Amino acid sequence: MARTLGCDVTVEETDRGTRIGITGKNRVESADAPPPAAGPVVVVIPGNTMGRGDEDLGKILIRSFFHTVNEGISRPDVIILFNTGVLLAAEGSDVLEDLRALEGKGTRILVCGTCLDFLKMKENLAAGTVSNMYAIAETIFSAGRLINL
Amino acid sequence: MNGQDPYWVVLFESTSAALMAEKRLKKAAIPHKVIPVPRQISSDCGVCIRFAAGVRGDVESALTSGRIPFQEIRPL
Repeated sequence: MARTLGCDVTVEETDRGTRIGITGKNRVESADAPPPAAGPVVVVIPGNTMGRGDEDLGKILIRSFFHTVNEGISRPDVIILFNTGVLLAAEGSDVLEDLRALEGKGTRILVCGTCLDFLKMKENLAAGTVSNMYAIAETIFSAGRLINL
Repeated sequence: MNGQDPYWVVLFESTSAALMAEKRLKKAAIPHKVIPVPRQISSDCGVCIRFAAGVRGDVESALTSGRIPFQEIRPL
């Protein structure tokens, strides 16, 4: 059985009996293990709060999230802001400082143009790049890992 | 924020107290940032307010005069 799992097996007769040695050769991957990510890490943010429920709490959480991400625990390659998520990139946003810092470190921030227009925030965009649904959908489908906040 | 000053934080008993404090500091135009409580301070999922050491006195007097309850003011 050890051999079928890719291990080296040695059998040695000693004066105290048979000594069997098993050495792990290859790490056996579970069939359920996810494939390694090949594309960029993309975070999609559909609102200006983190989670649903209490709005004030959601606003605190999203500020904490961006602060923590900006501290460099794990920086996404792309952040997509849509619906009220675009408010995060507008003048007066509490996370603007962190978004700009992330941009400075190389994270692309795509901001839904339709959403900015609908919310009348086009003139107030202060971070990121105005984007359309073609670019947003393409980025989502080419992601190696997609994180929906 | 002043990037050269070391940071300090003010800790609170509750998230709502932290939000009250933030409103007070905004009104007083004292630069600050709401951040998660750093792991070296607590493992709880809470928020605190970070500020530059240079405005420590302003922060303390703004919170005290506004009767905002806080737990502790300490270096980060």
